[in-house]
Amino acid sequence: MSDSYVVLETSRLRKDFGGVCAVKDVDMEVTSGTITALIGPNGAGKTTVFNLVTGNYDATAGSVRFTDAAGATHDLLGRRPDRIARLGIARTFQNIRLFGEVPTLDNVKLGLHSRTRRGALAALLRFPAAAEERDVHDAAYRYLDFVGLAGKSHELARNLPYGEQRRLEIARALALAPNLLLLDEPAAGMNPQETEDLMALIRRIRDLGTTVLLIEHDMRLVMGISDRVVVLDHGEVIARGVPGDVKNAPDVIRAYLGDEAI
Amino acid sequence: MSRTDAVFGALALLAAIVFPWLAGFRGTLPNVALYVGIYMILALGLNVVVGFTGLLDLGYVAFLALGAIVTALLLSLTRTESGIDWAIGVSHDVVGEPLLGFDGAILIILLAAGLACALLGVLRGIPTLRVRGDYYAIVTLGIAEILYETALWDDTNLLNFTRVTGGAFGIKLPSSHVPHLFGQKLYYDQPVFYYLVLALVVSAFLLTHHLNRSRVGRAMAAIRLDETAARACGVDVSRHKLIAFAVSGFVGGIGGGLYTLWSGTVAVKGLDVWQSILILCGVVLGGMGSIRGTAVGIAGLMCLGELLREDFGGVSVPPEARFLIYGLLLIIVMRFRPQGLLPPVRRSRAVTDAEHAALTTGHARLYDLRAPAGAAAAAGADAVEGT
Repeated sequence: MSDSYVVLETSRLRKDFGGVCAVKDVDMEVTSGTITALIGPNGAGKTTVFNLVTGNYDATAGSVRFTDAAGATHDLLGRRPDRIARLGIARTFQNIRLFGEVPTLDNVKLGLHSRTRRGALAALLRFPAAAEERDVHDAAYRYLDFVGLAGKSHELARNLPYGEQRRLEIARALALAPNLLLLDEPAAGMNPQETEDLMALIRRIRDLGTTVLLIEHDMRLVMGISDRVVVLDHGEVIARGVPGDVKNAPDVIRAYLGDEAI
Repeated sequence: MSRTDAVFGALALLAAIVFPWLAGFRGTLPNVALYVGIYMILALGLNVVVGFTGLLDLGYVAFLALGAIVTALLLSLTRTESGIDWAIGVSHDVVGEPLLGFDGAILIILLAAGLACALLGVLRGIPTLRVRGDYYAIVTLGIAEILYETALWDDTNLLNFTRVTGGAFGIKLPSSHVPHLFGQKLYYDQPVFYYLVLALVVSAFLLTHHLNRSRVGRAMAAIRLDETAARACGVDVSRHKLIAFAVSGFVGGIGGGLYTLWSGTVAVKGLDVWQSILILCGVVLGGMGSIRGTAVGIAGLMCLGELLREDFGGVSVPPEARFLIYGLLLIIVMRFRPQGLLPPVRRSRAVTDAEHAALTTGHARLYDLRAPAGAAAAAGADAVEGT
């Protein structure tokens, strides 16, 4: 790819919790149009990296730079999560965070929030409601259809089975029209068939032009769809590269299985 | 709005319009109706923060009080020989013409009361932006108590707020200063006052209904349901909380202004924490977040309060015991129907096959917000019921 660029770049990114260093000088690059997997044993600091990128945590040191769809580069550290979301980084959560008490369609409408304009005064006086609401409805419905939930548009989000809740969360994130999508263990709790469908969905998301960075423990998914893999252990990057190389790296095997496995 | 809602709403409005033709404009019944109407406006305003945004507000009386005081003060502005003066208090009789005595001035005054309360809502909101749940409730309770005590403060000449609030006696509106609208005096027994209150109740309904159904209302719902997820969707949480506080305050201020007109007197002494609790009870009983529930809840509670004032063959309920009965009612409702009597309906119409086809074929890019021609017309815009 000749016109690819670096969407996300962390440099010497560090996060201390009290005396514990959860993320230690992480340098990472995510290239546009790719699917990058961030893997590592439990407690390696993967979700912490996500939370640093999305502004949910303040970094102790280092930098995070993001290039949006228009080509402008932004320094993300110190920005609020909602601002980062509006710049074009959408995410899902390890423990699903849907708006359970409202219909699935409304969950996706919330994702469209930052892409619509109508302010408070216009809302109170109902001006000009109908046209924009129709656009929001239609767009939200298409996102549901994209993830295969069109038939469930009127159901309450909390009533969906687990795998569908994960896909709904992805639809909501996609509604932000993100340049970078962060998926935190999207296949957790899914059966093999659901995982298979999820892999196809993630590929389709990449084909839309959205770069994907995902955390995942399911190695079949990681090895099956990732263009690049970054391995974290104890907050440090211990390996990076194409899936085939990373799989056989001694450091990675040691981190997952212990010294005896080498 | 579903068809049933529209029918019920139209019937209720019709009943409210013809009610005084049957009951008269003078007497107990119409007076209770006004009282219910004013508190309905207050409850609808409180519902924006408690119901839509999910923040428990225990100090809403502050808006009732400020709106009432601002209205009373503006109405009592008097042009005297020596300049402009306030006509506050019974002993402080000022001879002269009201400064804002022209017909319709009350509409501007009510707007000013609403805006003052919107400002109070924002100012009170800023320090509370970072607190949630019980902590938020305690802060609102505390701020209302501080304002209450301050209003009655007469320790020194320098900080004597009773000169503005009238202290324990309150502000009494001189009869020469009762405002006019459409040539009629806005007295509690005049048709014009009844219909002004009714018009403002309807306005509060529509205002909060549109807010709830809008993009801003959706953002408030997101904050109520999960603040972290709301932020991940790009919702500016602080901004939308402040909008909720401002709207809630504005509506409360209008309610406070009507309270002044209705009672003719504003005594801060009577506007204590129990008023906050009473309005909140109405919202919770009816169903937090539900506009019609809030209206039904507060109306039921106020009517019950009036009934308890009655003398049942020598047996009457002492005023202090009324809150015992409210509390009991609240416990019973929370035990058997925790969502309230008429909770918000969050349903969405299923999309038909024809609509599905129109929506999902022919759009080139998923990320485009605009629908292709033809698809928009086929889709129902009001698939989601918000109230």
